[in-house]
Amino acid sequence: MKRFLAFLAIFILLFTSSTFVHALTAEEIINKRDDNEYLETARAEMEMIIRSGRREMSKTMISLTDKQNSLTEFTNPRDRGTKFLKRGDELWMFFPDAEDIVKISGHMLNQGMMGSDFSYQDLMESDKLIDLYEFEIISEEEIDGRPCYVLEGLAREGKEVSYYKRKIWIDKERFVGLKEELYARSGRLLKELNVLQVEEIEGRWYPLRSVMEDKLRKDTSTEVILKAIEFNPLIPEGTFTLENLR
Amino acid sequence: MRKYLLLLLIFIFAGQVSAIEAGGEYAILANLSWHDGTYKTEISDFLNIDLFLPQVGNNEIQYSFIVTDPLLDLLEDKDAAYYTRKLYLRRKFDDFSLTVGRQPVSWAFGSLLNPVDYTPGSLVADRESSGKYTDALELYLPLEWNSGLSLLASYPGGFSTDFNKMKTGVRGRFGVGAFDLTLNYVQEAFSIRNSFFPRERLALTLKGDLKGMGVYAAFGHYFDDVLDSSNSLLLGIDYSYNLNYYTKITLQLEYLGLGNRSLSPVLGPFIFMNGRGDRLDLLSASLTYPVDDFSSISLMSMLNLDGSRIFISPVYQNTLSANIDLNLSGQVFFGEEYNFTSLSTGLTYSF
Repeated sequence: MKRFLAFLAIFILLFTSSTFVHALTAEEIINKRDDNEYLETARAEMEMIIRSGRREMSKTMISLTDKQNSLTEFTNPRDRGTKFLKRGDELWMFFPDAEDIVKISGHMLNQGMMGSDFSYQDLMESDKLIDLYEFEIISEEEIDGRPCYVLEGLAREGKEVSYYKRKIWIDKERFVGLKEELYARSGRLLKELNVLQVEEIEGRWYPLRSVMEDKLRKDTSTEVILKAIEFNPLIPEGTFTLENLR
Repeated sequence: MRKYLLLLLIFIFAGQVSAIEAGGEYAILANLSWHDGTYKTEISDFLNIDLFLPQVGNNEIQYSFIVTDPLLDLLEDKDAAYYTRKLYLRRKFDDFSLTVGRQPVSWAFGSLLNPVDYTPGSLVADRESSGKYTDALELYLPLEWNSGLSLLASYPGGFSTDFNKMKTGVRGRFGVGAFDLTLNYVQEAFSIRNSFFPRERLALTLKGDLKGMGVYAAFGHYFDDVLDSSNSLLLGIDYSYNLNYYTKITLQLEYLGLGNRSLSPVLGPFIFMNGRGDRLDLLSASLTYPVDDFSSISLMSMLNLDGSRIFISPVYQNTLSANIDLNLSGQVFFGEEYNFTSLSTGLTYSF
């Protein structure tokens, strides 16, 4: 009997501890994903390929970002020198020809940025996802052979977000988002993001290539290719200012 | 001819030199216009070159020039006209920055017309004029991230030791809540097309958001020893209307009142909208419809509220492949004394 009880105790202990180790909560999963993808500060070089039917247009840019702010300068021939300064929830634009600096009206922020499927608002959401949404695990699925947690997040009350609901597929091993669906409050699917390539950079898994599709438009997509990224660079004081936008 | 060879070399090697990079655009334009039964056709082209020089320490050099009709003049074996748009040195010090040389001075704040720009008529309805490029010395003092003070001394007629030929200005930009407020003062002796422009001006502009709409305003007070004092007032809104989730029509509507005919130079190339009375009240509107990611249709119109003049300009813009943009536009003007209509088409290649 004693042997049976000891065996039972060991079995229960092993079962519960293994369950405890593997059953991460939605919050823990999102936090692990944020550890990889949330940027405290970064300097990135990117290419954005905008496709519509058989036509495509490429834009390249260099972006500096911290928790709340970002400064982006376009480097492709057509837009060379055009800059955006996102500071909190304000957006300013620099036009290189006349060297004008103009504050962008709020209603323009949910338009596609430079003709892409990303809105200015998409780029302005810089908070951690866990601060904006309340997540729960809804299932587990595979994407391209990789097991993923599927999480659904609803906007936290009082938080201003571009999309009321998000569904995220997070790689169970690498804790990086592989797919994301963005919904309106009505439940309508608005956009879908698919990550095509992930790489480990400086000890964190990060998406290198991803494609955003606007589901309300036919045959359009925007691919973002990360050419280079530096995590946690020292950003000098005065970087995110109108003076530096000139 | 040597100049062309140099330009050609810059064009060919643009982007290939790592230390100094070059970029810019070449455009060819065709215009057909008629009034009173007379037709006129015109073809023109221009080459705009920007040299991107590496920043050395806190010093930045900008050089940009434009060559008008390079291809047409080459075909006719003429010397092309060359104009330096920018050639300046900017140095950042700890508490301020200094810019010396030919530079653009534009005090745009998002309106179609700007009656209180540093140079009257330098930016009108998104059309630029060469008037904004001036030989100047600018001292910029940042105050907060969205606030600063610009002190300007410029020579609109070219550099001169004659103080009377100097134009001076001060502009303060301040973030007040979510509003962008600017205050400026300009002093100059200025005449354009036989109009004498008041010598001094004090002005303010304001831009921000109100209930999902962009709102802006400008007020200028002009005073002079010879002319009576007069004012300008600009009130405008910009708004987006969702046709569906993604397609947005953007509308901009503004009223401009000029208290005195002598202020008409602020209209720049639209000076023909100046009406019969001493006072000018103008309503301008711009409507933009994005056809897709690569093309858009827009309509700009101006109405002199005394009913004497109307101007309408539809524009179709399409980004073709290989960095080429196609522009098609029409201009229709109905005036009391004369009318005109024109059609323009242009191809622009960015490199």
